[in-house]
Amino acid sequence: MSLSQTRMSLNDGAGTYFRSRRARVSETLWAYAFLAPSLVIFAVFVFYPLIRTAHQTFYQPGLYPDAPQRYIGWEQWTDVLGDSDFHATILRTLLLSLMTVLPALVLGLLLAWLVNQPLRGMSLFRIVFSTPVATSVAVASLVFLILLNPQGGILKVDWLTRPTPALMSVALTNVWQNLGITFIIILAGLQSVPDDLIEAAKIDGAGPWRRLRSVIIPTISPTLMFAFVILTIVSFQTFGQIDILTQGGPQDATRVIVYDIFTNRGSDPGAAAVKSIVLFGGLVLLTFIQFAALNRRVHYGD
Amino acid sequence: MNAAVIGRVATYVVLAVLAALLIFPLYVAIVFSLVDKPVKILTDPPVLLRDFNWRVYPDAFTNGDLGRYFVNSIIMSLGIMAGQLVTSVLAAYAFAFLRFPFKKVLFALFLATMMVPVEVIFTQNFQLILDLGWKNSYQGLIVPFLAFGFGTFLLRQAFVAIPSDLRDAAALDGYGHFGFLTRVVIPLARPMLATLSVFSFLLAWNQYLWPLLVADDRQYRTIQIALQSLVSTSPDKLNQGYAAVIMAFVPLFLLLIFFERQLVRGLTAGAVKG
Repeated sequence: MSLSQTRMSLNDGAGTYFRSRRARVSETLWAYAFLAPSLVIFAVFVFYPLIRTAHQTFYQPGLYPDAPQRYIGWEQWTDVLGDSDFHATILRTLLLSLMTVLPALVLGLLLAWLVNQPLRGMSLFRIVFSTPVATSVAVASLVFLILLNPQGGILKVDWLTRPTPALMSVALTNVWQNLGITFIIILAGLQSVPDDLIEAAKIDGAGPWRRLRSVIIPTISPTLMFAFVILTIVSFQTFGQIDILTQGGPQDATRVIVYDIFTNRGSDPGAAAVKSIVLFGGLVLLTFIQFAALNRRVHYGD
Repeated sequence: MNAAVIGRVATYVVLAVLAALLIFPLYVAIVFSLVDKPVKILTDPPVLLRDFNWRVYPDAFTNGDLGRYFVNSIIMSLGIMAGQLVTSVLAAYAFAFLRFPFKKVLFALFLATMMVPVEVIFTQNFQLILDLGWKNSYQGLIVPFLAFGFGTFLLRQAFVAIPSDLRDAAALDGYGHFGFLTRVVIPLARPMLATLSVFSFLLAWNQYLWPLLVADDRQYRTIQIALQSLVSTSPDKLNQGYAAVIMAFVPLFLLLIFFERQLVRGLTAGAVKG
């Protein structure tokens, strides 16, 4: 046994494995065997299509059927990014996101805060407010079609045939369908707030609103951030609601980015690819914002 | 004292109003699904149940051929759920207990897959499915989703909480990695595995864009995609259409009632606390 090996076994101390070269190799082999199934699926059905999408942004279909694709370089990027129609689509997507995320967050916080009061019967309200989790995009959209249907909907409104109200209708459906998961996430956050923190605020004479504003919301801000990011990601992916309620109309008022890609993927695959990568960029940006926010919490927070 | 009572009553009133508003859309859908003769349903939509008929539900089930769509949805969701459990458990074990080169890079790669949802890559992924000849097949619906970055992350969080003494004890008893995983780790992580199963089933069952593209043949169509055509066929079948909508909702609602606490706890342990 060489000197360095002896030192290593001494340093490792009790409770850890003696890691010989052979043990290290075997551990690595086990690790890669365990990771292999996931890695294969991710490689084939996530990263390969992503690379193909990026590749597609530089090509256009041939001029006749079965002709090879034509390389056109960055032309497609400049075309799409300079297209005022696409600017409108992005603006619409952001608007829908805003009209989805903010109401869902505020309502979710309100519901979770009310249910978290130490009162009887709250388990019933917990189930009621979580209910939208059990509804799919299709179920939620078809249910809202009853309320909003231009011919004799329950609400007697003509929203789906007019541009701005149509986008608001999609947002309303989004808010309702995502309220359940928002409520569950925020409630989980509220339940991890220490009781003595609330008690201390009570002793200091803080009323319920003040406790919510100055104690609860700052304490659960990482949870609210998590809910914010989830909701934003989900709202960027809105598709089914539009497919069922408005089909992108009226006058393109609800043609958000995913619906745009879906409808134009056959006629202009290159442009659809550019738009897909733009959507991906938006999601990456969001993730980095979340990381930055979480890091700040580590530095200044608890 | 008096103020406290008033406060409590006010809380209940606010809760009841909000609950009623939230449930109202579903309530109306249930009323629609029970109307006996839906001739006037569009001109004079019913808000209260007057002429209800339970037969709408069995009729909707047989006329709409719902059995087939439900079976498709169940096969797809169970397949995705089981596959994701296996791949996520294995990967999470490697990330939690094993030391190997490129561990951090690979973990980051797993997390990065969350930034690439179906909506970003569906056109090229669909092309791939066409090339493989998997359009209108169960493998086309299931295989692309057999790995799950968020699930691996949740399970890793649960696995690292397992005391390292247990691992040493298992090693002394002669268990290798596979024995330790199946005899110690999986039984201890059962609550988190349950949470992940529910979550994974829920997401798979509710999918819309991918099944719409991949399974346009009635033989492989899922219930979510079938619903729209069931509702829009003809006004005099609208009650049956909404009976189908409610039937697609009920199984998940039952799942929610049983697992709501589990979902809250799982999210608290895994994601909220980070």
